[in-house]
Amino acid sequence: MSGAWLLCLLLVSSAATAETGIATAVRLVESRYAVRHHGVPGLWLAKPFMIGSGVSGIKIAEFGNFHIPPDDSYTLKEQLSKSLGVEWHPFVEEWSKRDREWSVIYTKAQEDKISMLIVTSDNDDGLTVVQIKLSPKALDQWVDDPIGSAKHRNATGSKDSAAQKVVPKQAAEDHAAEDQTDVEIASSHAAK
Amino acid sequence: MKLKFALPSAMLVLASVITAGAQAIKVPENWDRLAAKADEVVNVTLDKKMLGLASKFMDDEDDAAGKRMISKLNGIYVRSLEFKNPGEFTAADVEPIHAQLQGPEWSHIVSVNSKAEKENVGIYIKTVNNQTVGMVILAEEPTELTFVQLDGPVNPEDLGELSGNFGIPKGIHVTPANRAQEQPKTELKK
Repeated sequence: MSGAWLLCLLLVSSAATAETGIATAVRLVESRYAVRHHGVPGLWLAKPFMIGSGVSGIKIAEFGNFHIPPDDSYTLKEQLSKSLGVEWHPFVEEWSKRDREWSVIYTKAQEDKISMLIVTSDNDDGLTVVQIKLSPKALDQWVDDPIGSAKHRNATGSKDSAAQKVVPKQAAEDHAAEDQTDVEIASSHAAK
Repeated sequence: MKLKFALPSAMLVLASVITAGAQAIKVPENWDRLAAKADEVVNVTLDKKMLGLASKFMDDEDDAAGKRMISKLNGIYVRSLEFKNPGEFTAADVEPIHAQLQGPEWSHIVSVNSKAEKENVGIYIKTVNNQTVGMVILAEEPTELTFVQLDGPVNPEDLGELSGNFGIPKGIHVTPANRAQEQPKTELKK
């Protein structure tokens, strides 16, 4: 009997753990700052950029003009780590006073792919939460140049569009299609 | 009955030991204070799992040495600060970091001071029982400060294979000759 309870507990806890990700981050931001997220109109336009990039399963939630108060980024990061649980590993943290930009990136290993959760706040786009799955090839790009990838700038030094942020430049240029890209909008209506 | 509680307790202890080992990042104590003054801050954490995945996909012959090296490492940790103007951090700010690398287990194997470009790079290795178990690279420029820690067995001569990747600054090499003569000739290319 106690064995059955233990099994139940394990199943429930593993199911709860599996749910952490973009929804966890969005819930945390919404409850902490009393704001609501919205989706990205025309995200499908980004799809051609992603073919062959090794990036799939994209989910994006934006918080419009909401910016994380600079003094609060550390606390938010700590709460985020706690909420996501141990299966999400901190990978890159980056913040820039000059550009009023803050990003934190977590990764989670999943069989032959890596899930990546990016929480980024900048002057132009406000706070954005992105979750993607990376193929080994796309992961290689991130691991080779984690700082450059995190700063999501293209070869010309200019800032990429919201969707391009998650696709490393070199990977986007390689059109050897190997992966079915799946674009999914976290929420399709503005709720502000 | 005792065994019933002993097993979960032992597992908890084991889990906490493993977790403690995984979190053994030796980031300098005053780094956060310096980071608060910096214009741009970047922290990169590549734990054993990420490095293991990365090494699986390094199939080119050119990557062989790098693959061999990272497959043994427990982690690569990069901390980088960029300041708006020269002089925003001083030698006194950096001194506590150097001091932490002066213990008996640490050896300062390479040092480069470029007066022309005002760059200082120091490479330190940690040795336990004659085995190199870690390496730290500390690169100082007028407006940039970079701290890199390689956790695990590492051959300093292989450092060139990782340089420019994984957030490690470009152009850092250690050769057997410059180590033996203690006249390092590390190159630092931007």
